[in-house]
Amino acid sequence: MIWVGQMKNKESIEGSILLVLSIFFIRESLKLHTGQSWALSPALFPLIITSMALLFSISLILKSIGKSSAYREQGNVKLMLLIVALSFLYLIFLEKLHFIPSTILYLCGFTFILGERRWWIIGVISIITPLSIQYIFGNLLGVLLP
Amino acid sequence: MIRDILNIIDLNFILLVFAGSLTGLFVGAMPGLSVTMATALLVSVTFTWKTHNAMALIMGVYTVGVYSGAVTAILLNIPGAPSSVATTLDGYPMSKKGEGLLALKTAAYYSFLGTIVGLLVLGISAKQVAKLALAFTPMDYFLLALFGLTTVGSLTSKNFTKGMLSALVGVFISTIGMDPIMGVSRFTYGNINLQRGISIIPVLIGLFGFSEILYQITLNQGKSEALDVNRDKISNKEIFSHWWLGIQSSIIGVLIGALPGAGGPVASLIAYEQAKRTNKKPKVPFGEGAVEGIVASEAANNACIGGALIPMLTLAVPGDAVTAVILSAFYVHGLRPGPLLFSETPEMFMVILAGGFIGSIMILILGLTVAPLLSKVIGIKQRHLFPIVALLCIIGSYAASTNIFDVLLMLIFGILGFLMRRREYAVAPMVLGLVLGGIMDSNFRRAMSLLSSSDNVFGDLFLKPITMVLSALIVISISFNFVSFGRTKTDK
Repeated sequence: MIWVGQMKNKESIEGSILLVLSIFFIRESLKLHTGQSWALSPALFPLIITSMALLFSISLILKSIGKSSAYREQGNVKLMLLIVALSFLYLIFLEKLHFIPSTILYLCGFTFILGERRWWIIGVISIITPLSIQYIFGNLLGVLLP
Repeated sequence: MIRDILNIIDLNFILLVFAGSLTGLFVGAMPGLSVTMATALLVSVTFTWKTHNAMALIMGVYTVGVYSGAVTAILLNIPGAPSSVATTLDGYPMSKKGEGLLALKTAAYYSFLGTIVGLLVLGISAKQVAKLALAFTPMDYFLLALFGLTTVGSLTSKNFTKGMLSALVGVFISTIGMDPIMGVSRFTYGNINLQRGISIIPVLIGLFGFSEILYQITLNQGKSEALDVNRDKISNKEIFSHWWLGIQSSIIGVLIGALPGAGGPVASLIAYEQAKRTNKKPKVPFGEGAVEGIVASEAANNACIGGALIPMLTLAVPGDAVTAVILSAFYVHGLRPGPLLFSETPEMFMVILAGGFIGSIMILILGLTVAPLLSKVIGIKQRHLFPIVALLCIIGSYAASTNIFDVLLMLIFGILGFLMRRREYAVAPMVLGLVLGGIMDSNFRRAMSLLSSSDNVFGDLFLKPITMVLSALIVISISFNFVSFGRTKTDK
């Protein structure tokens, strides 16, 4: 799916979002100061950083005003979103099921979404991988798995 | 000294270093598993061993573990540790061009060189370097970290404003959690998981690893064919031609490694920046697969090993997390690092040096034989490789602190990294900001606190030699950034 975007207008939007976030966190940082010396205040450093971010956001907005140019963004974002959704689902299943069954389902789904249709390959990857990881991490290295 | 080292080395010692090296190769390459973790496990495993044997194993893990972070950095764009972030900048582009084997060999040779230089400095001038490290004040630490941040220019070839925003977001994220000085919670909003701050490992894995998977899937839809790993014949002459840059980077690495808390990430980035300044016309531009980028980064981060051992052995002050664990190993075995180490148990100094030297030879052996076998990994089709890599990203994020919240963070930063790449924001400055933010925050406030009670503020701020040098470096670095970005705009 290919579409044409106006890069510089998007930079104005990004700059504006960062500007709003900077202002928000400047306010939040000021709340951290409770009357002690500024030199040791937990608010000092976040205040400096968010103020600098404010300045750079304004710079980004100013650079993008009045200069529009088109460019192409490419790619299949739908596929990416499916993978992200699958990964979040995996996270939920990890807490409910054991590591191995939820990982088998995750890898099956992932390889299928990417276009693999040979079930024996999907099966090999989905079963061998979690078993190997369980053995190497869990048994050999003593690392706790989810 | 050479005779003393040779007296310690026997077959048993070599085999133990080899066993540690194999462990280090695997652990260092896996994001989420760290050399610190492996060393800590070994301290408990080797509790009842003879000290020489325990140190041999630990030094093997340490030396090869630091190098092996470069393997996944080059092959998969997932740095094995923060100190390998700079290696991804040119290592991964080389991999994509079919020069993965050249990149891995370069990393192996110059990691070897960096380790040797670091250990030589340790052996010959440990006390002098320790004296210099002791002279650093909190303001100097802050300025050093700030200097590291100004190298953002090296990491953002296209847009300095976006690079700085990325770095500032990273620094801001480092402030989330418990304030190290006053102990109050900052920006946690009642979330207990955020109290301990945002861990670097899930951020690293998300921004580099998971986001790369999402990015490649979006571009290629999982259909791209396997890359040709070894397109060109490897010329050792080409690799060795950068020996002088390797030595310069090693010296930067050992000096920065000697500063407690500074470490590999700072050293490798400053060395990378230095390489960019001194190599005006590389064969391939930096950031697009320049061999010089890998030379600088790997020589510096491995030279940090020798550097970090200097304050540990001479002052009983650890130079980094791994040396903190090694320090505990010394105490467990009844030894006392510090000024008395050389008079009471001088042979332990030689054991560390011997373990390090053999470990550096293992970098060459394993780096030139085993690591190239790993380079076959990028020859696997994406629709088979990416699910496994994604799973390793999830396991790696979890393994660091066995907390599902870290996996959630990794996914969030993975999505953020994907969006940043599409909008041409560099991700490396964000990681750099996160690493340096903690150093900057606490040292800045300590410096301000000391200045507020000082009689001679101007003198304390500007007239100390180290402070003046660091301030000058920052001004030069910032000027260089503005000049080079101005030149890029003019060329366009």
